[in-house]
Amino acid sequence: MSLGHFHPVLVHLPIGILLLGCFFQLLTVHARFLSLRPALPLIYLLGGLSAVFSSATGYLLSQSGDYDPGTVGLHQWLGICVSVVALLVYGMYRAHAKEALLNVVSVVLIALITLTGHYGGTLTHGSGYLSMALKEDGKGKAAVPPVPDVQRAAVYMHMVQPLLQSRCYSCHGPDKQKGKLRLDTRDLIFKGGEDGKVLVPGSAEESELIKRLLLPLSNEDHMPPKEKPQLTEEEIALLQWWIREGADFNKKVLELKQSEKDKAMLLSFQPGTAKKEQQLADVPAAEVGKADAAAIERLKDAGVVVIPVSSSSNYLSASFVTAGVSPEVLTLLEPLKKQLVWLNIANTALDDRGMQRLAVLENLVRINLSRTSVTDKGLNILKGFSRLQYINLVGTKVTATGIAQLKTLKELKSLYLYQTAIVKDDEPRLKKLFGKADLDFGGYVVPTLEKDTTEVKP
Amino acid sequence: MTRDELNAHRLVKEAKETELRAFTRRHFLKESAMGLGAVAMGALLGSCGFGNKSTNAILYDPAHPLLPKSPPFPGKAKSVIYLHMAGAPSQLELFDYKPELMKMDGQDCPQSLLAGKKFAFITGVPKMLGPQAKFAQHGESRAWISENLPHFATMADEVSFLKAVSTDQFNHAPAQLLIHTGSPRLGRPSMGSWATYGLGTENQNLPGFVVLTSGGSFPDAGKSIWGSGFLPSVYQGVQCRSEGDPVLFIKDPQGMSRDLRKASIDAINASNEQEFATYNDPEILSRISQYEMAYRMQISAPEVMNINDEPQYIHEMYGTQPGRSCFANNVLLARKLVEKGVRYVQLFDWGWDAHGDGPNNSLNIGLKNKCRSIDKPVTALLLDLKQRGLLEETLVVWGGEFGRTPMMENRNGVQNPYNGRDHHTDAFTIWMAGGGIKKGATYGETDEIGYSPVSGKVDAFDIQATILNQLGFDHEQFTYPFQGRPFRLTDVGGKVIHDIIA
Amino acid sequence: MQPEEDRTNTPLQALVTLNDAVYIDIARYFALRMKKNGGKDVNNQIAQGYQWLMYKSIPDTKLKILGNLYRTALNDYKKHPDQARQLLGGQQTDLHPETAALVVVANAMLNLDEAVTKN
Repeated sequence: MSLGHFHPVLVHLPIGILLLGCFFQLLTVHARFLSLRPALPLIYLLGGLSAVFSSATGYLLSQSGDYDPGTVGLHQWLGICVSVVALLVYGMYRAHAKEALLNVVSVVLIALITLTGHYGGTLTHGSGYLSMALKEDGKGKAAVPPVPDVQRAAVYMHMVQPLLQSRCYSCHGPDKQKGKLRLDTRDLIFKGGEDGKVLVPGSAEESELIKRLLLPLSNEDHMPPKEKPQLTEEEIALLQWWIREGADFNKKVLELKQSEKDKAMLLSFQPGTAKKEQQLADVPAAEVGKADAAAIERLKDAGVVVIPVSSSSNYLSASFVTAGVSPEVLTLLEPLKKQLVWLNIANTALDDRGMQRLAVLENLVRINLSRTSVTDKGLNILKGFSRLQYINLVGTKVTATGIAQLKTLKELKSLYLYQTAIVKDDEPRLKKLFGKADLDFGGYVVPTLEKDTTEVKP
Repeated sequence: MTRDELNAHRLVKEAKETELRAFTRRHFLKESAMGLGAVAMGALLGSCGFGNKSTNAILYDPAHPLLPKSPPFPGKAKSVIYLHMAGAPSQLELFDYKPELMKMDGQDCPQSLLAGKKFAFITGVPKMLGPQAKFAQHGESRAWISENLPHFATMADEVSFLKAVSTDQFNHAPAQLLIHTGSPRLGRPSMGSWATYGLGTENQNLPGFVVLTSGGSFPDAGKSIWGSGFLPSVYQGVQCRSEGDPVLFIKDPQGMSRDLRKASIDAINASNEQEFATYNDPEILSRISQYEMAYRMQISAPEVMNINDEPQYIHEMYGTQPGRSCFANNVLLARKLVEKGVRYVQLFDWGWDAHGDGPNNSLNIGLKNKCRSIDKPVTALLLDLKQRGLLEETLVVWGGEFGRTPMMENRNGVQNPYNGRDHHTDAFTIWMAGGGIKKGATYGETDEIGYSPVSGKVDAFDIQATILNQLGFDHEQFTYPFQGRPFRLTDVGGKVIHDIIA
Repeated sequence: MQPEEDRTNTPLQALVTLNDAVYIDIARYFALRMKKNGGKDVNNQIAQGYQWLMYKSIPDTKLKILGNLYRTALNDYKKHPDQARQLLGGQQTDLHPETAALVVVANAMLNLDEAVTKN
């Protein structure tokens, strides 16, 4: 009955009015608040009447049958008690009851309202709603607790169930069954709700459970309702995969078939494998002003290719592929020190002295020094480029000592060291030193197999 | 002119005439007095993205057509090397492992697979043919690669496979055109032309779009695959060679010194500048820049394109054959070119059309030999680019124009003398590496006999969209106005394949 | 020889008209014709050649440019007569540096924008 839907609205009235009344009553214990006394009977009358209307609409709402009868019953009777007691207190005022008695009844009424309210909240949000909020560790609502070794986890018990519990049980669980659907046990999931089955083992596309998750947020059938916390992409993918593989309640993850995509999704629930490694962009996110156009022109005249990294960016990329280096040309780079992020100065006569002139280019993200005359000394300059992600030193005379200096570069992703003066023995040590950066020493050999130079004859 | 070139020429003319006829009508409609309709259409087109985004502005400067330009967003790839295996290599003997097909070997092809399908040569009921190579899983990515590519198998963790590529063209020329120009018909610019139109090239002394062929024959669609279509002709592919003169006619005539050649080009350009002052035709500016570029190429190309100056161990790595024109030589040249800033290098290797009508066209002989000729060079290319720090910025693509059928070909109803497969449009494999592509990934799956895609189906437009994306372009916004409407490489389709992008 | 159904404007096309043996041959005969029928004065020869080519008279500025080219080439061939011989190719009768210089000019004339787009 649609009138029942007014219950959540009306219910605020008795709560507010009666609690205020009780509060005032207790305050009148002190002489200074005696002036409140005359208002109290009216407060209780109004509170009691609104409680009656609340109860009436509450009864109508309970008829929709979406709620757990046990909790509903408790809430209902407690609510009726509130109405009765409120009106009783009004009567007591009219009958000039003793103050002490009124105080006691006020306290009782507060208790009744609290209990009624608590069960009301349980009906709406599910039990543990408050306690969960109090337990929150501030990391956002991870519906599936991190799984240490995802492949060995039990799919339903460790992953699907926690997910359903945090996102679905509040309306489709023991306390409330919207649409007559419960998702908290295997049989009840398979039983479905008033619109039929929600899960078709083997087919995620046909499962209503999944269909509802995939609807656009604006669609009123979308689940979870848009004001509730939503499932992440990975969580939806988890359910899809689980259903596709037969909606098994007992197997471990590794016993089920997984595609590459599935593996990645599953891995995202395992702590330590960051969902998507924060992709360090090749271009700094911060805005920067336009570089001096005259400086760019001078460089172009010297044969250096200077272009913005993208048509909407002021950051610049410079390439010496058709230019030579000279002290003059290198100084021409200095005005671009804020904007220059990519520098290709490979195959030039750049030496350590020349590197000195590059020291001002603090925003460099990528630098290609391949086959230049830079040595360990010149590498010193690179230490100051905290944004460096890519360094190409192929064909230079740098050694392990020189390279080791660079370990302070926190954002370094790739370091190319083919044909340098680094000896093979240094390689493992350097690799360890740099941790997550990728060091490539090259020297790959593609051996010549007999097949490569012969043909299969008919 | 060969007969094929004549035919191609006639087709081009036909295409142009047809388009001219259409042009008039469309133009008329656009300029019709139905102002409101035009406004509405304009609004519709605008909302479809054909609006006034900056990439729609023509990027062509006739005086400096190949100067480097910035893409709309920073692309990971600065260059592309496309390795096209003309003839269509058989995915079932290379990357798409189908043990179920082995079980059906020799059986009649089920009717369900034949009903309603058009084949190039298969007639009647062919027999199923199991994989003619042994497969194994390689690398941490556990990619399936056959014994035909032992070297490339070591690269499994470096590349991303697209196993469910689909096309709708079952003949070589239209299929090749579709993949490279976005249309099975002649007249559209090729991917390399779009790339150089949009990005120019870093090194003005070399062509921006280079084409290298091997295998003994031209690809079926001929020069149109690297043609510039309706883009200014300066963006067409420049065919170079890894043997002999790198570019045809790059050598001055006997008796003309370099200085004299320079003086004569200077004179030609000076005269042309006078001509431009009189007539103001931008094509004249273009011609001036072409002659300047020709001279720069004369100076730079022989040196850059000389693979003989590479050290011996590099030749060993690639398996080059000095003195001959071959795929390995071309691959090494491709590496040198991108090292020097060339934007797009297109390699065509002919001879993969394993129908089984002869030993060279068979899966057990011809295909194996073709594999031997490319296995080492391709592997070397990936490793060499990687060790030089270039793989990150170079997008490498390998593939054919369609796939091959799980059935053995029976031309005219008679089984071919050798094991072979007919053209198959529904499913084939292409791989990509470098330039921001994921390492060790696979996207797309075919059914258990490799006949149809079951997931992750992609087509030529998706591949083009992905390549453009890695270069920094939104394929839907990257257009060129022609005949009154904006055209783009991906025509009206294409979605970037995000699953293989890192 | 490259087929030329399309007047394409590319460095490749430029190299063809500059260096293709066929075009060099044409330049040779063109030069010989200019020398034979253009009178004694080189400027006349060049002007005449332009007239044959374009059916109109050569603008003064262009005549000057081509005249300078002739002089540069002539200096070069006077110093290197063997080069002149090579440029003049097969025919053995006229091996003068003047003729070789004229071939250079003829080659350039055949590459002028107006000449290339006309054909």
